[in-house]
Amino acid sequence: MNELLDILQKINPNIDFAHEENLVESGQLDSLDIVSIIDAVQDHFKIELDGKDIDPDNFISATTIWNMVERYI
Amino acid sequence: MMVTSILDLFEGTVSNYPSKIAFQDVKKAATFEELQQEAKAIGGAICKLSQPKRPIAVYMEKGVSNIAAFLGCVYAGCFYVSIDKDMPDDRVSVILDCLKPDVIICDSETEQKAQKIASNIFLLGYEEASTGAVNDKVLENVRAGMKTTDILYVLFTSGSTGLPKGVTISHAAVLDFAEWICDRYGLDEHTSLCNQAPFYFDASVPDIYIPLKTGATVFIPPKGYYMFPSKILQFIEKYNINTLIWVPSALCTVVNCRAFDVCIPKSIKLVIFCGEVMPCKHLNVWKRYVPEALYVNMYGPTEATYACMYYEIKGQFSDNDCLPLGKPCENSEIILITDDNRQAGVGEIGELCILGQCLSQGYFNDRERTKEVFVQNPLNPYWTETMYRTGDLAYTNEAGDIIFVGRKDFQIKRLGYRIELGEIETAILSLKEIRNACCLFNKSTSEIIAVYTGEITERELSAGLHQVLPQYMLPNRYICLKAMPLNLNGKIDRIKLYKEYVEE
Repeated sequence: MNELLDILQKINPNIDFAHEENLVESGQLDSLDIVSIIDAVQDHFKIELDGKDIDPDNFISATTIWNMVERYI
Repeated sequence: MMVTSILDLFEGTVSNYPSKIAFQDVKKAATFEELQQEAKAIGGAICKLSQPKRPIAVYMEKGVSNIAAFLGCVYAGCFYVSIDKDMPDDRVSVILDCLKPDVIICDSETEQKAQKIASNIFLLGYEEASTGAVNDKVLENVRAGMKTTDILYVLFTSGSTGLPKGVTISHAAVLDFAEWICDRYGLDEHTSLCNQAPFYFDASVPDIYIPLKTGATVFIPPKGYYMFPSKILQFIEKYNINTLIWVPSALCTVVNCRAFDVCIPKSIKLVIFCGEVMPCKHLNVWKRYVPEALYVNMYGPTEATYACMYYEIKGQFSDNDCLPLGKPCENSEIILITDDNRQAGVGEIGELCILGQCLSQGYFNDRERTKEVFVQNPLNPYWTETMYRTGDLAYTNEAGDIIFVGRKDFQIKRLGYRIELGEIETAILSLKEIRNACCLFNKSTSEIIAVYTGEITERELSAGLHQVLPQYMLPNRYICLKAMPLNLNGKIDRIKLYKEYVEE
């Protein structure tokens, strides 16, 4: 989880990923961030996400992103 | 009746399809008749505050109401400029300083910001203006003075120096484009579009004018949907949308997010893209999942009203091929002009120059920069014939198709060789691990710097390029980024990259 937070913080240092619970609806993430997050976690954790997982429900907070990543590793 | 403005097209459609939905977003749907009613009310309100042929800023949240506001400006004999709710304040200020409009149409989302940024300009509230009574007499008087060479809208593009230019587009140019695209692709009242581009961007021009001409319907998806492209594909399926006119990067995001794993809309019959280079690697994925659709690569700067060239993709292209720009649209002419003002021969590189009714009337309140690129056709000494110099370099192949090579500003000289940075970029992009790439040239050190995103180390990229590029074209430095900076129009922000990596 800490590894993930490091990755997220690098992608967008202006978002408080550790505490933010509503990344998508608050409008803080944009489409570029999403693509960057997908690429970065796939790269770092050596996984390949399924298209079904690229869904708002999995990008609500760092925890939901981590839960998704964990299913692959 | 003689056509003197886009209102003549629109009113023909209103009488043919009064109760058909013209535009629909998450909150609101407007029929052609409702759109006209609102537009006329707004037009009447503007008439009291401004004069014909003056700019009006439409500063609103994106949605159906924007279209009624644009048409309202036109009913008042004025021209519109679209400013988005989320546009940075600085850019809004630059645009308003350039245009100095008498009126800004705003909504509840933008009213406070508008008061702060433009305290000296009259703010017209959309709700109030669009529900007012229609005064046909006033509108008819304005209408009698309109002609097709009047300006319809101004779009701001980033200049190479970073200072935006206001591209003026006339009714004539839009009438010309709308007639061509609707005729060429048989667009009619059965056409349904999924809007992607913002209205302050040239890529949205077809989405606005195809319905007004034909009775087609445009669906505007919720903003967040483009973040999760599977949502967009489900949206397309739900509304049975058959036509996509998108920028290549939006089509690429669908592929990069593997959205086709979730949904493959069978309704799509026509996919048009324009505005930047479409990588064949991503196009081939689209063709695999949606093979029945016709894919069309279009080319055209904002100054030529969306597109002036097109290439219909019929054959197979390999992942690292470069799509041709194709041939000029009807009623437009393309000539390739060499450095010594000759017409380039087959295979010879020249600057891509455009002639025809599609051309802009120049940059708003900027005669200097207008004169630099809107010039007399050097091949014609006999009468006044304006030609627009795009700054793009291209050549004609044996089949008569025009092939894009790169930007004139990106053509560099190094070690005595003339090099297109675009050619190096194409080579980098053809590697499968690469997502995005941009090459910069540092004149003072004669260094080529490759900035890229993708799962490949700098050393691997360098090794890969050694296989495909001659020695003199190889970058000196490689910079791997987590994300490529994009400008407001969704293109790579080269100005930012130059500031960061060249001017250090």
